[in-house]
This record gives sequence, structure tokens and C-alpha cells, in this order.
Amino acid sequence: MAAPESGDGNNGAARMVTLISSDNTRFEVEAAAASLSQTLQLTILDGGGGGGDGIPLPNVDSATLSKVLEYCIKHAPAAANGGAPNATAVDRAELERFDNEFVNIDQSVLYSLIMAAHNLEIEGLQSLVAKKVADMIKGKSPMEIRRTLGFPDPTPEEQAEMNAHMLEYGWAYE
Amino acid sequence: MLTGHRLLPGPASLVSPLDNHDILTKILTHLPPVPSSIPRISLVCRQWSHLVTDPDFLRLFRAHHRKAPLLGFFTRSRFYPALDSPDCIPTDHFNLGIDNPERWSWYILNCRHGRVLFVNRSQRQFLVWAPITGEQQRLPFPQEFCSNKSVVRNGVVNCVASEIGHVHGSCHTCPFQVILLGCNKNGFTASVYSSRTNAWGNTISLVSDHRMDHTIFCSPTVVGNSICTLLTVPSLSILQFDFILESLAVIEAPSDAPELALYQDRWQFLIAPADAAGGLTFLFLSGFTARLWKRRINSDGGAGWVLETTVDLSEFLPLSSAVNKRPPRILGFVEEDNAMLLCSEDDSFMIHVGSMRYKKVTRTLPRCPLHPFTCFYPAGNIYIACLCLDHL
Repeated sequence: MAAPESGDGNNGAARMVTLISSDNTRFEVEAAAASLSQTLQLTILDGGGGGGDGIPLPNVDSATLSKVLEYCIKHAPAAANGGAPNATAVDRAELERFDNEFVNIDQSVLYSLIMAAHNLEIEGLQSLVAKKVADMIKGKSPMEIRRTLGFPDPTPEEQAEMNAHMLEYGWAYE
Repeated sequence: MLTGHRLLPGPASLVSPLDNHDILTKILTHLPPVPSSIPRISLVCRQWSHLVTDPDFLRLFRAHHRKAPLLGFFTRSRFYPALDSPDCIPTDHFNLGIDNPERWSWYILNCRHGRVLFVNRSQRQFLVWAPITGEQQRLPFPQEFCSNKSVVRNGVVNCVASEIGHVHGSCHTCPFQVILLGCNKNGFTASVYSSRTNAWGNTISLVSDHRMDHTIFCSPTVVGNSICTLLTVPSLSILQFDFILESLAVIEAPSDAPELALYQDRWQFLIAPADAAGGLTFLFLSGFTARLWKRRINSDGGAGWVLETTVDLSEFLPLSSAVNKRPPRILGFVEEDNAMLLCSEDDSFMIHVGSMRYKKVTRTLPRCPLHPFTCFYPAGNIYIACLCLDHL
């Protein structure tokens, strides 16, 4: 995909696009970084987002968008390199370190991020956050998973249905 | 009605991503493929239960992980779990359900793609068993082998699912083949059973002076579209049956491999794939010394063996003491991991053939041939669900 280079001038300056969050904050980023989003890539290919126009993102608030763009800027060089088959081990280790630190955040921020990554179709970010949430629940019992994810304790009615469900699995209280 | 879940109070605009089917699917496919994962999450709430028992989810889960986990090993008589609690599947859970004395006339030949293959030479039958479902199917020997013209030596079960992007590991309901290798007074014979046609195909023969020697243990290995097994008489070589082309061939072992005239009972052999293109690896273990050859295609189109590495396992593995210890023994080969299973006097190891990286097996295993069972454990399994609920 030649998208990231399509707007480059002869002087080598990277093409910039403007993204506008739901609370009307404007973010100016390189088209190459924004193009990690499959959704935005189409608009950018069509020449959108440049100049004073900006691309409105009514589903993403400024705090989330800022975080999303932090990810995109960091990953854009590797993505432009076709998944970075030629990346050095040092580069890969640096990205891995960044990723690990990047998702070391509050659950509510993780949720906002994965929603934004889903809406903007940023595959790498979706997988990164999905893996983090999966890591938070792996090895836990069903009740621990409910508590970890902030589900309320089951009501008596729900508990009864859960018990019935357990019986489907052959479990019996002794 | 047990609903999905409600978020704790938060910003009003925040819609839980866990209510989004695609996002929840993405999160849950990232759970490790160990047996307890899916039963556990299926008990979190109805919505999750429906999601993780959906065949489409299970397909994505397998496709994401690519490789089924190793659950344990079958021997002739029982199952030995490989994982620790809560993923440890108890021995009794996989029970063939055939009592003695008949049980003792069934010998295990192979375990692959979710099925175990047994042979009963006195009844002239094979038994194909899917431990996950308990389903059993008995197959009569093909005609050539019923009349005693040929003797059954090795067999391999092979999933032939035609689904695009199929990932092996949940194949117990997929169509399968049984690939049979035998010998007769003129050489070797092979035949392929297809569950689709419920019939054996043609008998393929190769006239040869070589013989199989069943006193040397070397389990048959699937390499690409071939089964490879060791031949020892009159010289060390490999019998290769290509079950797609239906052709048998004998390949000479590396010329610098040991002279069988000097054979010692502590010699052991392993044949393994060298690459995805069907290349071969030949491993010879004498005492603590492992030598490993790879068969490469030369520029003239011919193939030749190259000695890749020689490893002293007494220095390489963390053995408590190699002094006065019995040498390690090759117990089996895990195809999915391209790893041999090796036991020393005190420990068992999985060693990747090629890189020779190893990891210790935490469970105690017997010193006998082991047939690895790799499988994605499906949801809705009674026993595992019970295990997971212990801490509810």
C-alpha cells in the first residue's frame, strides 16, 4: 500500500492530516500514522483530512484519541515497512516494551481504547488490548472473572440460573 | 434471564466493549488454548456461554492459536496427563472401555489429530478411538493383510478435513484416513483406509531386501505427505510412504551413521521433519551423545545427508548427575512442536529437534513409548467444568 507516501512532497516532508475528537479537539498527525486505521486510510487516500478540513471522529473522545495516536505514531514506521520483516531484534524488542507499557493502564481506558480501535479498525491495537483483557481473566474462576471485569454479583435469580447452568455441566453441591 | 453483565458506574458515554460481539470474540480468542479456558468462560454468563460454544468462535479460537496444546500421552494401557491442574485431565477420563482380557490384545499404533489407532492382530482389526467423544470405530484389516500375505507393522491416523484454513486439534468429527505400513516376504506393502468411502484403497508394494526390525524402537513419523519409519536390515535406512502419491521408497540413512554390525541396545533413532517442504532429519542417540543429520536437496536435484550437530546431553541437559546414570531414552515425538520426548533417570524433557532447545516436563512419565495427544478441549465437557467450578 502506497498510502503513507501518497502525500509526500518532493522536499520529503511527511503529509499531515487533522483528526477531530468528539469533544472538538484537533489532532494533527502524519498520514502514515493515521493510516494504521483502515477506516481513516480510505478517507486519507481520497485526499481527506488535509488543510483546514480535518476528519471528525464523533465516537472517540480526545483522551482516547490521544492514546490511540500515541500507539499509531509508534507503530507507523514498522507498519510502513510491511510489518517490518527487516526490523532488527532491537526494534522489535523496543516495540514490545512500548506495547507492554502502553496497556498498563486503567480498565476503563482499556475499554475506551478497544472500542476506538474497533471503530477505527486498527488491527494491531485491537489485538494488543484484547490480549491484555484476556490476560486479566485467564486462569480465573467464573466468579473471579465477573469481579475482575466489574460485572455485579449475580442477583439471586441470576445465581439460580448459574447454578442450573452448572448442573448442565454435571456439577453438584455436596 | 441471566443477562450479559452490567458495568460498574462510570462515564455515561461509556458503552462496555464486552457487549460488542466482535470485540468480546477478539478478547476471548486471546485466552490460552489450555483445557480449562473455554469451560471456565462459558460459566461466566449466558452471553459468554453462547459465544464460546458457537462453532464459528471455536474456529476463530483454533485459527488464532494455530497449534493445539499437548494434553498428555497415551501408552498401550492408559493416558498420562502432561499439564498441571486445572488443565490436568485425569487418567480415567480417557478410558477405552474395553475390559481385560480383550484389552490386552489391543496395541496402540499411533495418536494423531484427536484420534488414537489401535491394532488387534489376532482379531485382524484396527480400532480408531476419539477420546474426546468416546466414539470408536473398528476396521477390518485389508484383504492382503487378512490372508497373512502381509504383516501389519505401523499405522498412522490422519485427519483429511477439507475445510479451508482447517487447524488440526479438534478433528475428532472430521473425516480421516488410516495409513497402514506392513511387510511381506518380498518387501513392503501399504494401504490407505478412507472414512469417506469406508473402504481400503489399493495395496501398494515395493520389492526390497530391507527388513523392519521391531526390536529397535523408532516410532513412525509423518513428514509432509509421507510416513517414515526406520529399516535396519541389512543396513540402516528409512522406508518412506507417500500417501498422496501412493508410492513407497527406501532412503539410505546418512553414510556416517553407525554401523549396525556394531549395534548396541543403547542406540536410539528418531526421524523428524526438517522443514515444511518434506525434508528429513535423522537423529541418532548413543548413550548421552546425540548426532543430528539433515537431508538436503543438492543443486543437481539429488539429495544428501549433512551432519548438522553433535550434542552431549550430559552437558546440555540439567541432569542431576550423569555419572553412573542410565542414558536418556527417546519416548516419543510431538509432531506439533517438532520435539522429541526424552526421559533421563529422574526427569523428562521435550527437546525441539533442530534448535535443540528444551523444556522440562513437570509431570512424571513412564519410561515406555508415549503417543502424544494434542487437542483443543471443547466447551461443555463435564469433568473440566467441575474442576473449574471448584473455586466459584
